[in-house]
Amino acid sequence: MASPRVAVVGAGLVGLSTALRITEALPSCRVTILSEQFSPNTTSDVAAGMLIPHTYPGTPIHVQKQWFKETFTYLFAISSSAEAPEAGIHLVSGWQVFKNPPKDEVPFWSDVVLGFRSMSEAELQKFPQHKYGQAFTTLKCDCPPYLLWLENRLKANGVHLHTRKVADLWELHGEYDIVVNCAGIGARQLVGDQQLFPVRGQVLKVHAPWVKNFVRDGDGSTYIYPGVHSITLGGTREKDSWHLSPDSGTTKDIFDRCCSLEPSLQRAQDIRVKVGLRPSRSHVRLQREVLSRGGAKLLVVHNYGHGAGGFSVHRGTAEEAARLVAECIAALQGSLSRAKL
Amino acid sequence: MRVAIVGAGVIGLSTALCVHERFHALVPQLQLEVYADRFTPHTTSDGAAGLWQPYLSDGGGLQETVWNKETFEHLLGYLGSPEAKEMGLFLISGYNLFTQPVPDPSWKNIVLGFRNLTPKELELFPGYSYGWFNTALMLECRSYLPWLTNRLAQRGVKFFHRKVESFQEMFAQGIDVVINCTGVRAGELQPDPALQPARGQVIKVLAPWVKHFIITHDIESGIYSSPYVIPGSEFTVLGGIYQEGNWNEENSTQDHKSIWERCCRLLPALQNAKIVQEWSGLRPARPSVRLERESLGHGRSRAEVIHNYGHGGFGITIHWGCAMAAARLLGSILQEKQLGGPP
Repeated sequence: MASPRVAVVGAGLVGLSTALRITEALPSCRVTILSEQFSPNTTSDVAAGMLIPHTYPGTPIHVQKQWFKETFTYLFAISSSAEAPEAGIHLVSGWQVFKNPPKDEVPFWSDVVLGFRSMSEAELQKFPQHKYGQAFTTLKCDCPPYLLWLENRLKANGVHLHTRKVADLWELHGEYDIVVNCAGIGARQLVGDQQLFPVRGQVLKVHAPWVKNFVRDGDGSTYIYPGVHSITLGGTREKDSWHLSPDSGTTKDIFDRCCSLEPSLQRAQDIRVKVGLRPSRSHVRLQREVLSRGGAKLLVVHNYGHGAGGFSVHRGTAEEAARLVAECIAALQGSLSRAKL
Repeated sequence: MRVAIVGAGVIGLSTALCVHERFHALVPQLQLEVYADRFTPHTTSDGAAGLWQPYLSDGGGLQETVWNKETFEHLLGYLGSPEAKEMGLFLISGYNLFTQPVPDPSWKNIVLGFRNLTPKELELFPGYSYGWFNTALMLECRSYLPWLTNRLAQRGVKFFHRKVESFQEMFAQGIDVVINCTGVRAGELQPDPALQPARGQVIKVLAPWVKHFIITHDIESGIYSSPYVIPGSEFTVLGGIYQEGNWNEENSTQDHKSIWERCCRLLPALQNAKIVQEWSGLRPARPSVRLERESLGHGRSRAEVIHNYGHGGFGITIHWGCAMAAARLLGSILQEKQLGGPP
């Protein structure tokens, strides 16, 4: 097969980064992105984009670590290059603080981030309600910049981006040889995956440029993440909620919780509220599937269900998805040769 | 009892505030006045990035280290308060980089989370093989000086915008004690060959993606002659100029080029940063801070001067410890005049 036609459904972080990896690893492919939404209207645009992994109960730890390491290494190189500001990638240091000692004192990713260590007594004094903490330096991917940077790289690689709502993968049969499903929370309807569920997150994006360090409560409920132009304050984790409109009571609650971690936020300005639905699953669905209908076959690679951890593993899962696409191409070439015999 | 503080940079204003806080209740007749020919935003302090960090080795001895510590702890106490933003005070983490291993600094236990850099961190900075990471404080004088000014004005301290030509001029006016916080131009009031300008130049840019300070060191060339990048609340300050004996407050094209090229080599992403401002200033360099009493004249025309100048490139770092020490000296003077202290 000379130029396999690959459709990537979804233009959030996972769709764009998967498409990019496919163009890098399989340059013979003709890749098109089809998505109902593009930046700044994707779920990814709401997220802070911090590289702090979320643990997937259904995936072996060594695999999650590998994904995180690949992602961190990839972004680390961009962060120290001249492209960093355009890509919105930057280093940020800070603290993860715990009211009760964590289950894992040393998380699986501690040797991937930079300078990981326990906080000193003096550092903990800044957080009187917390008894234990970890200090480290990690990376942040600001969106929309990172998504726009990915879109620009894709266009430079000859990828076309189309606004199109795909209601059924079979629509793409005949037009494309391989479909890569990066529809995020949209996969629930698109492929009827009942194991996929939303976890609603509300965040505030505020102007407080004197905040240079991140703070995260180890229970995941409250966090302060300084980005290039705004600070993301969060958050909520509302399982099975599909509500995309901001809730004002929640806004006040998030603001209060963040101010108790960082009192100077009382002076924050220009507060904007956003909501995103984390596409959650016990493990990322990262697998090939051959759909059949009548005599027709459709080769699909799924790459969705990253929940709260998309940014931390996106490059790693994109690599794996690209490998699965390569397997699809080999399978197509195999059946073509058989057809010729 | 009239006390005049001459100089309205970080040293003058903080000394005035410390003195007023300490003595105004004990000495009701205390009248505090601030005299200066330059006020914020035109003082040397205003041009500094505002990073709390002493020099690498404590040339001034243990005393200066204590004053640095007192300043850090005083500021840390304000961090969680609603005043912090107005003061221009916030935490910041960052890197000190070297081309060879160096001993730990005197301030390693004053800052937060001091540690050596890991090999992976050093990969960020080609050409540097050793370094430190720590969390320190920023105190931006273009906010701090107005904050101090407001506190002083609320307390009824009077400000006079004029150049004081001599100590005698003050005493002739009826001033009882002069606190000399005149920084680099102290020599105009009283010759001091130990005091030299150490000219610095900085470029202020918009680079909001930089969240850490990065200070490089070249042990041979000396402090602040190697590139540094310090992100403030609005602008990022690029610097690395230290020219002893140079009184020129004009920006130099050659220095601009040197700062820009070396900082961009350190952080390639800076090439895209928009330049907003350029500034030159004169650090009041001295082998040690001059913080002492001096009695001028004799008999009935005896008058007291408290010197508090010569803080080089670490004025913000040391200011509160020195203000307290100057206040203690004033306390002795007040006691001698049987005005202050316990009955």
